[in-house]
Amino acid sequence: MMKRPGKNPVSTRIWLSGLTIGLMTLLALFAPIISPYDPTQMQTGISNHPPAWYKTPGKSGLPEHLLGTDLLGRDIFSHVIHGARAAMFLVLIAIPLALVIGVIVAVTAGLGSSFVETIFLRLTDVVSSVPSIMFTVILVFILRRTPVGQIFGGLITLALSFALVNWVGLARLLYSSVIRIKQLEFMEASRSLGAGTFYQIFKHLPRHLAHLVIVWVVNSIPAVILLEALLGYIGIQILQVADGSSFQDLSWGGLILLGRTQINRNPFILLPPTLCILFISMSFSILGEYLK
Amino acid sequence: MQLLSFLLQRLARVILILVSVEILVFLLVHAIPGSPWDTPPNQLKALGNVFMDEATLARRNQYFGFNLPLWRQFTRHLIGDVHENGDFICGVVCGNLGPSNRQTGRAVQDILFKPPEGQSMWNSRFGYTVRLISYAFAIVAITGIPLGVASALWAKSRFDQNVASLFTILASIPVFILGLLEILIFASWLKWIKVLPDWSQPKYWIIPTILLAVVPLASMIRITRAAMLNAMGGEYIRTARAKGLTRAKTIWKHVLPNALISILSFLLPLFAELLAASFIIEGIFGFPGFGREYWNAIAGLDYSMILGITFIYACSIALMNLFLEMTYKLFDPRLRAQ
Repeated sequence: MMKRPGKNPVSTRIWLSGLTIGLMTLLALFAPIISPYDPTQMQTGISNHPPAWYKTPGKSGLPEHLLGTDLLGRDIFSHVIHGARAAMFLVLIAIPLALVIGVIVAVTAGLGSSFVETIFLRLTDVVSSVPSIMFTVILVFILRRTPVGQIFGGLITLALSFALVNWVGLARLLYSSVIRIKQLEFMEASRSLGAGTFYQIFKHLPRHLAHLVIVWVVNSIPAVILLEALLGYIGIQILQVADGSSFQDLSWGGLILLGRTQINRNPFILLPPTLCILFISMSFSILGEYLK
Repeated sequence: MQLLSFLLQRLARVILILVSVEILVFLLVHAIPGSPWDTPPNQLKALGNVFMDEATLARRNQYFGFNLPLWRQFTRHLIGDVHENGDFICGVVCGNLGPSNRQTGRAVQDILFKPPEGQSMWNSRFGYTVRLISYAFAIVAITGIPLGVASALWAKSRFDQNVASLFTILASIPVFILGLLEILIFASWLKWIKVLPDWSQPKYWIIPTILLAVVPLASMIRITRAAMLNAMGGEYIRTARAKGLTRAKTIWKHVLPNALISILSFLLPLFAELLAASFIIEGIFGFPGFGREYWNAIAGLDYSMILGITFIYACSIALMNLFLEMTYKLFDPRLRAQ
């Protein structure tokens, strides 16, 4: 690893991961400005070209298409940059949604009536008794044909499926914490001073749950991006219109799905999205380790 | 006696969970638009897209009970139903997971548990998954514990730091990327195996097994190290050393048995975790176990197959958890008293 004398290697690693995340955010924000081509623009004459540096006698890279082209002659570099935007979009929809559901359910179950609590506990039992990806995939299959799922090129399907399954994990985490905090002395004291349930929820709970929520968010961001890529690898389309035909969306997972079908002709399609996902997930896991 | 009533109580709960899982998955699966007949099976595709005619479709819907109301379909799956020829055919409660909608003519439990003609039971879908999980488990236990012990003995040394950072990095690489790396290393570089796997030969198993083992291995090393350091800091260790025991003897006699408790409490639930993780890895590599069967089933909307595999997963995970709880209760007097 990068270890220089007199420098703490841990801080270097965190600095690098922060830089990667910042860079990806910039790519996502300014995607239309940075990308050299429109990623949907087709040029049939130059299909499946390898990256610019790759020279073979048959088909060598074109200098104007840095990472090569796909089957329909679309620029892969632009696709990757727009993919960062899709990933950011996914994260910005899925994580807050799961967060809101999880926090509300955990607080109602922890402080509310025992009826809600029982239902919540049975539900978590059911959901956690099979691998969560089983439910996520079924939800993707349900949502991808509905009108809602067509919004934003199918990304909303994935965001909703992730949120509707993964709030359970967060809620279970927060619930046990809420139960523990409820029995602490200061809660008793504040109640004896006349504090209502709502006052307690907004005054005391946030500062005791914040660290759990932050760690969960940092771990979930790469999980969403990975889920998208994983479905691409396994070969599941997240966008399917009513007549049964399907499209790839402009994302890293979509690019992986595309590269999967073209692996004999242009294996280099798989490389850039895979590397992007690798950097992102490693950055977040380093950050998560640090926060713990 | 007390233990028996506890066991019965927990068994009732497991059954309740299983039924709820089946209801939930049944409703979700039937909410997916389309039917199992929408995409033709491969053999039909080869014959030039011969889709089913109306009469065949009606006969099939009759056979699988798709013309019944939804709740009847569910009870038919779970408990059983009287079929058109007047026989009562039992459902999941008798261990019959129903006929597969896509692989016509075979029952789900046959596909999952019956080996191919003339082969041992380890070559069935079930056998493949169980072997994969067991190998990964063995790797985690056999390499994880010694590495953890070694990093605890030489804590804060260069070896300790290198092992810790190496496995943190390995565990943070997404599975499919690590899988590609392994293909590059073992197939392209070392040339031990071919890129296209032949799962009947054990050497191809190296890729999914290592993939499955990496993430728990990192935790295993960390937990063993922490448990060892914790045990080494105890007062009784200082006493043992003070009365003249050698360092090696102290570690064998006093530190290891005490560290073993936390190691075991990590290792026992590991089987359930590996089962969940194997599901994804089988999907990525086309490993012929339960996982691949599930991914095929959901792509072709094979209702009974999806329900059957979910049932088996939920059942095994719930039973493993129950077993764990029972062992803790048996061996920990503090829990037994409660």
